[in-house]
Amino acid sequence: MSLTYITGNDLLRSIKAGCIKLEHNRDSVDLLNVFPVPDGDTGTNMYLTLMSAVREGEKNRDKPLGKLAKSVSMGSLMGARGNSGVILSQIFRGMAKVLEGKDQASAMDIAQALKTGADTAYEAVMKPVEGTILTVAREIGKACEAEAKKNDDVVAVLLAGIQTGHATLARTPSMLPILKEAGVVDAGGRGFLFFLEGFVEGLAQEREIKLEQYREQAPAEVTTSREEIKLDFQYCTEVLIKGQDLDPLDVRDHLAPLGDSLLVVGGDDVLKVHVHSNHPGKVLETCLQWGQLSDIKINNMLEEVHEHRLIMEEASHNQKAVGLVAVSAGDGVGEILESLGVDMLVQGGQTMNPSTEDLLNACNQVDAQSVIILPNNSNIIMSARQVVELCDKKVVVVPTRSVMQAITALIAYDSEGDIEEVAQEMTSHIDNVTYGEVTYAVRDSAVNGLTIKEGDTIGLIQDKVVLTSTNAEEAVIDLLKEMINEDSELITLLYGEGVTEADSQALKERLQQEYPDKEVEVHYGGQPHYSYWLSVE
Amino acid sequence: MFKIKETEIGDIIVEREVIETIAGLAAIDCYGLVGMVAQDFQSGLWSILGLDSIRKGVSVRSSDQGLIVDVHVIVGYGIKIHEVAHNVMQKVAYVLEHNAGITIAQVNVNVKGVKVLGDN
Repeated sequence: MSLTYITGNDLLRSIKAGCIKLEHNRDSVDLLNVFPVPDGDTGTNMYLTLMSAVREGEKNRDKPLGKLAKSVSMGSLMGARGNSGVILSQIFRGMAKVLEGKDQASAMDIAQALKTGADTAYEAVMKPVEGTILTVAREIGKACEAEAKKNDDVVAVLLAGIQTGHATLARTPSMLPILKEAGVVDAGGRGFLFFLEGFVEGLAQEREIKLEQYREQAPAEVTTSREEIKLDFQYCTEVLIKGQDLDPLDVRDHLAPLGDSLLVVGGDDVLKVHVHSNHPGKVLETCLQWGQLSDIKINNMLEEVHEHRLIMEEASHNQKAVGLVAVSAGDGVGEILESLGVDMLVQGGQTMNPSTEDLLNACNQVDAQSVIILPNNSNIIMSARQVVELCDKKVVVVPTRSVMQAITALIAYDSEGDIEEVAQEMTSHIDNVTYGEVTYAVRDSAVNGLTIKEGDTIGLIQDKVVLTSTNAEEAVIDLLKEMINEDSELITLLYGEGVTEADSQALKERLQQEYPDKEVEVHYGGQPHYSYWLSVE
Repeated sequence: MFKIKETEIGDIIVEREVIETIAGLAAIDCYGLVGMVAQDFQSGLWSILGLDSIRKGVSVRSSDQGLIVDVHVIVGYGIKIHEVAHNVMQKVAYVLEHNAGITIAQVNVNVKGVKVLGDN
């Protein structure tokens, strides 16, 4: 998904998010301050300037983009504090000039606004000093403009700017000796980058865009059921705020950058806050601005996990004779496979095949004398077979082409048996199952006499496209007509991307009516790209 | 000539021009300040100074508490004047006290003009 334009509301929400991000990091920016007078308040000055900009902007929140940008610019001008604040107000002034009269801004508009902002800021100084916020802002503007020429996605353009901004920031000590002496980067530049980072995060949140999709695809990760568990946010923090005219949305905006699992509920005079964060102190400090705090609870979740794990380990520390490695996509699928006895999951699937090395690592990590691999995709069977030669342990591949086959094969799994026999038994079960998939076409094509357009819902049986349909549920019903015969007993569905629990339950009821003599099971799979995986056995 | 330090073996004396130059260079580092001006004594007109004559935009007097520095500046249009002026005061005082070891009593910023920048 790409975001090709933003509105005035987006702009205001994003600026506010940037302001809040800076608020949380202003101490670290203050510590960088060496210039021009070592009074250490660049972060605070920029934050207060932005606060004023946001306040003025909120008075005009319903106005079109151009008017809103103008009011933000006015707010930053009136509230400018310190050198960096004044510079920031000039950047906003330049941006407002570009956005004037517009109702919405494209990626190119935003890029030009940033560039003009930097240019405007340069005009107001007699002797521009390089290695300051000015340099950082100018390079960001240039990078955004270059990116906007080939990409119309606002988020991508801003991220390109931020990337260049960081590179420029890292070079500031070599441009400005005073920074090098102090061993720091420029505080104003760092502050501006915090603001822009917050801006993009706010924009993504507002428009429900996942920023992860812009990061480069990381190599397939080996997740484990028993090894180390990493927590992004360690402390569960709960607190009641007692104050007047409390606005849950405002509180949520301020706390969102500090962690996840955020909940803010309550009325005008009392709010309950729950958040997972690495800085419980910051959470409390932030909450203090709205009123008194009470019922403060902070739990270290890592300790809880450790205790839980110790109990788990004691219960199950016996090396298995036969371990299991399975390729999985989606959290629900992973849970199902683990519940059936899989020791190690390797993330992968149709669009992201794990490498032989990923599979080899997983086999080595399994606490067992021999290992069976379930590739769960026809494209992965080859790499899995290579592991047999490379691994010191005895490895056998059970050539499953789908997770649905794996689920059936796992019924025959015996962790204490002889690996050859177990694998043979599992393999014999594979063909008892007919599996199907429902997904969407990624490009126009013609297969098996079907004309398929990009975006069409398509149904596959045993990896072959057999039909197109108007929606995922209809496709499932049509597929089942082909797959079911009188010997069939069990229909299993795993629902994934784009399907809600309600949709799947409605489908389950329809299927039960249609096939009263068969058993229908529906589980959450969470697999990407595929709305449904189904099997009949 | 200002005596900035007396020691047993002699005094340190700094010429007025030196202080004016330091103060002028410090001032033009400040963001928002786009020029400095000096008054022509014969005509009474103010003229905009170039970089090499920047010290003419600064005048220095002594007082009991230390030096009083007056700077005459032009600021850009659309910039918060008192913030820029405040930055100039801080910067000039800091540089003179820190780099030249001169005690400063006051820095007065006189905004003598405002300049419209770019295509505004």
